[in-house]
Amino acid sequence: MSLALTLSVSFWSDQFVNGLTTGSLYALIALGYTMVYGVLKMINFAHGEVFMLGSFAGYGALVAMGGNDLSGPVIALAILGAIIVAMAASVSASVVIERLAYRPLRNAPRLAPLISAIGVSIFLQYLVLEQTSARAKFYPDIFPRGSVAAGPFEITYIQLFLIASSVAMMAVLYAIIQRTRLGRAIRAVAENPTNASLMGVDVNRTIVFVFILGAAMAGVAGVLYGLFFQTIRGSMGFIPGIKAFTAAVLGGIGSIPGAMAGGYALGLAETVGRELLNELPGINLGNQWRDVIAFTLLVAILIFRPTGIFAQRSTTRA
Amino acid sequence: MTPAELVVDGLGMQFEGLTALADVTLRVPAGEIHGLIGPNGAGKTTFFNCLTGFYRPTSGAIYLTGQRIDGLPPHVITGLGVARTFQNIRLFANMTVLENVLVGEHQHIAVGGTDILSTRRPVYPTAIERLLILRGFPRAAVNGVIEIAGAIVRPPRVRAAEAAAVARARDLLAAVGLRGRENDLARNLPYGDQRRLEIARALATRPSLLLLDEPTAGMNPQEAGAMVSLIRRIRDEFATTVILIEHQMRVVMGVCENITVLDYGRKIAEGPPAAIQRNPTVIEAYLGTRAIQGGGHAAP
Amino acid sequence: MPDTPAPAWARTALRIRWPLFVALVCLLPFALSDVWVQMLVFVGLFIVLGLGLNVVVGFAGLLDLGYVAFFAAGAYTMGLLTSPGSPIDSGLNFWLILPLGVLIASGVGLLLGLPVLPLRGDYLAIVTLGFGEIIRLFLINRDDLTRGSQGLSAIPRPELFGYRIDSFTAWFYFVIAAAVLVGFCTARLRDSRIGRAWEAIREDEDVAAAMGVNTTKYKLLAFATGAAIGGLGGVIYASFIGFISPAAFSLQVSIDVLAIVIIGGMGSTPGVILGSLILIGIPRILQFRETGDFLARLEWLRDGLNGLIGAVDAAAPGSIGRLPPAETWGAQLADDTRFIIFGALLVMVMVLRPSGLWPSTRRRLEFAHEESAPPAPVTAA
Repeated sequence: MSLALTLSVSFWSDQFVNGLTTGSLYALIALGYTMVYGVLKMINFAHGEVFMLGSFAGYGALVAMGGNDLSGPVIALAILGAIIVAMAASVSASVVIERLAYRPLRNAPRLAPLISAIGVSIFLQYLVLEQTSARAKFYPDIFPRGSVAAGPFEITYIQLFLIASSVAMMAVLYAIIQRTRLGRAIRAVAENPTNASLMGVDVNRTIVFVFILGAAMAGVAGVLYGLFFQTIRGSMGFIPGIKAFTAAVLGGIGSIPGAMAGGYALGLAETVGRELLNELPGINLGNQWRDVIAFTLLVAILIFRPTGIFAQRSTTRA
Repeated sequence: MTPAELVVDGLGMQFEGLTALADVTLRVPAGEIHGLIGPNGAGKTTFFNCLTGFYRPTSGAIYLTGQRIDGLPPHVITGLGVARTFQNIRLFANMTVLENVLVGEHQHIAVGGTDILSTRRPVYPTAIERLLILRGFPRAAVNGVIEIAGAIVRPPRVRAAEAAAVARARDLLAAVGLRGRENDLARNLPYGDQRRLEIARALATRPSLLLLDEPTAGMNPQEAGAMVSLIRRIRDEFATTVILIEHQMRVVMGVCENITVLDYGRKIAEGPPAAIQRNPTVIEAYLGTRAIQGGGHAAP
Repeated sequence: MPDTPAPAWARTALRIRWPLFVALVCLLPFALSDVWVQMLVFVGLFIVLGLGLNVVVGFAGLLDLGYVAFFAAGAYTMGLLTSPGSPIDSGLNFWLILPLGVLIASGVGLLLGLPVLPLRGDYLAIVTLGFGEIIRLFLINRDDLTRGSQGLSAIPRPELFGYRIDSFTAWFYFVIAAAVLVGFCTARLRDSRIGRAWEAIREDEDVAAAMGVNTTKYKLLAFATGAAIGGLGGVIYASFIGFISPAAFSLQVSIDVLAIVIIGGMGSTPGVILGSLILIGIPRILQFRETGDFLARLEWLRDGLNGLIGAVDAAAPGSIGRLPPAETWGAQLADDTRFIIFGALLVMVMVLRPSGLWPSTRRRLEFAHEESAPPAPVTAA
């Protein structure tokens, strides 16, 4: 029995870059989960669909602006436009969802908002599936091809754009959370809603803003996903949603830096980790095993380390 | 039923960055009504939580009539004879009065499904150690199937056990003054009756040590007086040791035979009511000189 | 509640309401055509599944989103042991495989329940969802065992005293018998020490433990019981359809069963029956040829609506499509929009009437302060 290791540096560096790419997407989506959980202590099951809606909205915008006929510097404007439209769509959807499906259940027994969220998720998924006759849509293939080399790494333009935009969005979010009044209000409500309201914070309004911020991230992720993977369909939110949630838990649910870190950790685990496992003799994991890995990781974390790998272990409960 | 003796040795409870209890040592002899007082945040409810297995103490040991109980799972500790009521009443709100008491009787209804984890060893909740549950698995599976079969078929043995349980529940309700209310929903009861129901439910577990967490909270002096009589009667008729967390000084001084005082998680005094009332450390902790001497409420 | 005792006839009626209902149901195949009876077989099957999930969600309060895993366990036990295409050649009789399937399914239930014991609410839901998906992916990928997407076919039907259960009517009675058995058992469980323990865990798990309830044991019992019932449904399904493949065991089934339980009424047996009739029965009825024939009479409506659409289209070309022929409306509604409606219903039920369409008395009281008006039927079921 011999160990056949792939010793090619370029292979591993490619995997690394792939990991950062998918990790960026997971991180963006995970932020929505972690922020909503922070203030409402619930999993927003419909967040994956918010991401999906953003993706479709971006698609519609690009098609309306010319689709595959776009060329030259106009492309940049078109993509920017698509991102803005996507954010608008995701944000609107998220605000409506919060108002209709979550807020009335703020004080209900804990199963109720959970089931309501599942209902919203199902509703949106199948609505889009029905409207598209369950057929996939294809993003215009307009992003310039080519790549840059940085040391052993070779990054395509689209990957660079994806990672850079994600990091930029996250930086903006972090700044909002840390430096603005709204951010302080969000942190206060996450800590203790009653006290926050006693301090004069409008809890309902703050919660709406939390949804807005999370949805904006997801909307951008939707466009980036579409540009990178090209194929989008109504059911596309489900798996990335669960994976992003896994990432949020990995980094410590409720923690914004945790969600970002968790996203990249998961992305790298999926790509680099899977290839590492494949190096072991007898193991050859195809692509669909990525999903199994993610699910297993989710189950494992929630059971063994629900506070996340970065948080302190809580030892109080017997 | 014989009342239990409680020995606590160097008990400590440490949360991240917060020491809730430190080096608490005390002994409550069997059958005593013992008071536990201290300013808010002193660690009294945490102490109860450690006694009942809700928390696993980070240091020290707890002995119930010679048997070590710290670290055991809550339902096992209840089976060994420790019962409690809660500071913010925690009844099963949507179940009836009778059903609440019947849940308390759970371990004493002989339907053939004995509980698997009634081990004397501490069972740890970490994942790997939870696999140890598998050791008891075959016996547990058999017990589970027996209980399910009994529930579905309802042989005479099961019917008799249920009937006996209902009869006993009714007796308990009568003992606390809730006779005739058995079909009312727990959450529809007036406040004072809810506290009584909590006590009846706790008594249903056949405790030898009863922990009451602020049983007279929110009560006026008459109601508090009735509660005090009830507590005395319980100790006498049900043969339990009682530990009482209280803020109403009149109650504490009136019914407790001995008192332990906690402050910032440490025991700062112990002794009969008269001694505690005069203890300068205690008075200082409460900052309510007049309050204690006058027998009114302690400062929050 | 009035204090005067009800008249004797009313009290008797109340006591025999279930046998009466079942007797009436047994008369149905004489009045209905085969297509309807077949639909009712599926309704009955989902009643069985709903009653099983009811134990987990309704009684014990554990939100399991991966219920399909137990259904699959029962079905694949049946398939693997009897299908000529499977690698296992057992030659076992249906009636032996039935308890085996139930046993294996409850084993899967324990396997699933054990690691999720410390989880609450949201986390439990998503982990069970993950498990359900892992099982499905496993079924697809291990095609050396399960024949993958090809599936297992020619699963034989059971024989009872030499009489083969072949016709829809026979299957109908078989499924009804299963449903009655399961309904009886779950009702007995609910009104026992086990049921009280489940209820206490559902209300306040920590306090239940403080009162001496071994929450580990009873949560596992809930999973095992719910899984056993799911497995029973799976065995019946495999034999009835005669063919199983992983596609039949998707998340959609879990959603179907969850919707039945939630919308029908959590913890309520009549609720599950009503839920299954509405959510499983109606979509199938919509696909009947007779329904299509009936809807064809609404062609005038379609023409009128298309006229309106034409006007809109003139203003904004391409924005909206024409309606298909009226007779296909039923099938279209059932196929495409079924889950859209389910999703919307789940939200509406939670917001407007969380105890469900036909609530159990207890759930109604629990959610009472959420609703404005009291519901009509009050049952002790």
